[in-house]
Amino acid sequence: MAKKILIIEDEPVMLKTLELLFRKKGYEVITATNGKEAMEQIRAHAPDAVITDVMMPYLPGTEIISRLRHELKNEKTPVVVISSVELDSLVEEVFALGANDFIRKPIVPAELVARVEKLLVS
Amino acid sequence: MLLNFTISHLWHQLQSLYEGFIFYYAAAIMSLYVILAIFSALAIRQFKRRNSFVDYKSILNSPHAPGISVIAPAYNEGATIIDNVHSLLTLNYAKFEVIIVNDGSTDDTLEKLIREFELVPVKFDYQERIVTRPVKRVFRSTNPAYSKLIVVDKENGKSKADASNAGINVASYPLFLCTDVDCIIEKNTLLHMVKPFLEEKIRVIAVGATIRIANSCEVDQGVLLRVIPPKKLLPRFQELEYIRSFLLGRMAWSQMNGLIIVSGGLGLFDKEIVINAGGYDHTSFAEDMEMITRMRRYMEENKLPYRVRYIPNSQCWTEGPATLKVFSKQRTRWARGLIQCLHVHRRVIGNPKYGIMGLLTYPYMVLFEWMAPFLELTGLIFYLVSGLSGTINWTHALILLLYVYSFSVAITTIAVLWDQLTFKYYDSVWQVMGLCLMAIVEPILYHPLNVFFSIRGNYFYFTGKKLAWGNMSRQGFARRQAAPVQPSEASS
Amino acid sequence: MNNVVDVLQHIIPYPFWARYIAPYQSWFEAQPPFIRFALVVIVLALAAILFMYALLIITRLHYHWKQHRETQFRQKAEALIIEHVMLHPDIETRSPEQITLPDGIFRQTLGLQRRWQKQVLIDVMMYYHKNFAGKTAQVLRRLYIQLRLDKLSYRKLRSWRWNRKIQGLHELAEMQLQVPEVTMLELTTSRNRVLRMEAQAAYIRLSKNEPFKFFDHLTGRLLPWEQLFLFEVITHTQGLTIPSFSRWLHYSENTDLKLFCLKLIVHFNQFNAIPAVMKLLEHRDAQVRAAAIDTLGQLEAVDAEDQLVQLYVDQPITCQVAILRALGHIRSGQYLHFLREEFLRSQDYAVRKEAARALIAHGDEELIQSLLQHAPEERKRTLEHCLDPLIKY
Repeated sequence: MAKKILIIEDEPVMLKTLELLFRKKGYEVITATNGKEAMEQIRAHAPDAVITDVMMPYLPGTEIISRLRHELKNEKTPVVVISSVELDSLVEEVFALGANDFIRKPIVPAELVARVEKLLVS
Repeated sequence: MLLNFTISHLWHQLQSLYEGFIFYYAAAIMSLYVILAIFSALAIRQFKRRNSFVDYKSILNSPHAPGISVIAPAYNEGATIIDNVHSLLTLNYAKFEVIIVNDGSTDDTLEKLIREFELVPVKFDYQERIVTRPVKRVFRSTNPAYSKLIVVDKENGKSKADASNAGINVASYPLFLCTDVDCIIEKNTLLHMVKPFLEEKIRVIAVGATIRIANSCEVDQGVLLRVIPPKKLLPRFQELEYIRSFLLGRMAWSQMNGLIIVSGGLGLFDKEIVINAGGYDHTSFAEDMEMITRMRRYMEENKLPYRVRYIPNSQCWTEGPATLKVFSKQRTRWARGLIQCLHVHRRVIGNPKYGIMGLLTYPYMVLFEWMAPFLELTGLIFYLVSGLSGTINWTHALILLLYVYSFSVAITTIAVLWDQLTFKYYDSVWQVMGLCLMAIVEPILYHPLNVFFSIRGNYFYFTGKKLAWGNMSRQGFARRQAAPVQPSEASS
Repeated sequence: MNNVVDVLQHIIPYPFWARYIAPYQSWFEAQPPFIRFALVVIVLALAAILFMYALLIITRLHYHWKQHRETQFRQKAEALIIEHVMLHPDIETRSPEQITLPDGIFRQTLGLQRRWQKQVLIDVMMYYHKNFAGKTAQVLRRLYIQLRLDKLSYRKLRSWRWNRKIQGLHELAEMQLQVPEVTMLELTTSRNRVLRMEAQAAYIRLSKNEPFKFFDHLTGRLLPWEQLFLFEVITHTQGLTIPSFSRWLHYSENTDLKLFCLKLIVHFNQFNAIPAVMKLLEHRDAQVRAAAIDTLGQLEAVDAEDQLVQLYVDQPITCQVAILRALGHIRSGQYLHFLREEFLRSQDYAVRKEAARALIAHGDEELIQSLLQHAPEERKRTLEHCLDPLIKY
């Protein structure tokens, strides 16, 4: 069965692109455009991996990770964070919260796919 | 017979003298409005052109952008505090912190915050750079997802000013944004408002932005989904008034560097200057205007060049009073604040030492903001007396009335439409039209209320009705009408 | 006032004038001047209101129509880019130069005859180029040239409107296309700040030989906003040869440029700039000194430590704080005593706090414990504040 990936991104064009990119690789993709939707999707569909932006309405990406790890007690599901923010403190924060990878924009599509695949295997 | 003649003659003299005065006064206000409108229009156009291709992300990303402390005092906000803090934490900016000052709430505001954000008290070394009521504890979250949040628990100071000052003392970044917890702030606000600080050759000490009425907007958990003009009459009039004053007035004053009002609902300030100037004055009824005045005085007296800037984007939506009772309190307070501020800083009026503020802004405030309601009231009495005594020239009276009226409708219409042409916050033309049509009834229905409350505020000021206000001083810009009444107010 | 009447009489068609206005003319002229003035204002106000309404309706309709047209086109363009560029079957296996470009299908589907169509497509491509790197970006660039969209961008450079010029520069710089260096250099000294900034950014991204040449004759301010913008460009342009920025510390008279170079030196860890930075410790501007001190700290320049401590006494508070911060970064342990003295002695809170943080950074557990036990109450509070892991600043 195809693995399920949740992509959380508030810019529709970016979201659409990433969605199709992973669809083509044979994944089942579910999407959310903000933090609230994201939590609903996680609860309803239990995705195998989560790709998230940081700055979004309702809940920032950092908080989505925190809720996933602490509230839902989910330690396994890999989380990849995508952001254009340059601050080291953000990167530290994201990993402290339990993210598995951090990718800066601009994204190299092949690299993103490879990193997600690697996390799904291990 | 002779006496009778003299009196009627005198009355006639007086009548024409008064008519003449009112005519010139009105003409002066009008030409000022036209000048301000032109200034504003040019400034907005320039602003739009300069910012049309700004990629705000470049400051967002940079570790070298100045940090901003967002300060929001909270008093008995238990019902909405959680959503509002979550929404403040999602602002788009790299380096910022959110400081919530719990101003001795008597409800469960603090408990809710502690539970939701996993707060623990920390050994914060509180430095009282501005004197405030004692700070009891400072909290931080144990959850790294909320590492931007600081909660300050202090004794109630009966004013927003005191709570904001405590927030300033705790703030760790060079700039701070002063707001209210129930203001809905657009997510790119910090990016937009920080820009004037970075792109001027002269030190910018404060930046303001447009505030709008949120009463009918679609809001979900503190996130603004859709902008809709207020449906109820009173908030609708306020929306009209806000657009007009923000867009036509403040933009022009900013352009001339004469701006003295950066609303308490949303303002970004240079912390160092605020602290040097002494912070917010908790005895003031118009602490926002008062503080800008003091900051400007500080700069002028130390001969430091500076700017107070304003950006025309709407960045903040706030609940306006929806009932006449709350509205009357708000406006009476504003009027009282104005006269208080003018009185405290009377040395500024007409004083060339204080630059544009002394020569233009303050005289303007005295002549047109403070005096106008009184002149309107005497005008009304004058017309009544003339009408009753049968000495009125009805044609002339009507023409003069229509002259003031048509002008005010025109200027409001221009303001609203100009805002719509440049920024397009509302989706449909009909919403805009609907709002504009309000301009026709505004001078008849809404304006007299304002005149009445202004005079009431002045009356309270001069009769020294002081103690009765207490915590009401927090009934500023952005209070929800449902805000619980404070004990001190109830007992008065 | 009569002039106004005359003018109106000329504008308004005679039959209309004769029928509706002329009868009132004598009445109007009989009124006192201020009433006449009021009447004119009333007419003008009414005209302004009607004009604004008409303007609103027209511009709104036009806007909606344009919006509708562009949204549809944009969606089509996005779909094409996703399908034929992002998900191109060969993109993973072949090198970007070998990939067959889907320009035919773009022309066919989008038309691309009209200027607005080209512009919307450029905007969409720019968005993708900004957000995606690697082969995707390279294919986008080739496609942009193949579709001759660069012609439109080049044409904008020659526009007389400054915002058009910026738009053109922006597009060409994003797509890494050649712009004559003379053109750009000329614009880097433009009096228009926005244009100048964009030209400087474009110059850095596009110049083949000396991307930082304009630094040499930079006059006037380099405002914080411009610094942020250029910093972003410099740190994000791929394949840019980074010079040794200490050069401008030596030769430039421009204070802003010095401050900017210090930031770049830190970012690129240019340790060989340390001697040049140390020379700035004597600079007359305290802001420059403080920035130089911070730079030395961040580069962990152990050699600078002695000089920093020697300078300490005569400096203003901002520089003293910077020195303490720098000692906290360098952590050689040589000046622990100095830090401890400063922590216990200083009346200034900022100094005390920075000293505490520098002490903690050294990680001398014993010293901290003894301070916690023996220091006066207020110093202890400061130390505890800095030790609390939840307090960041």
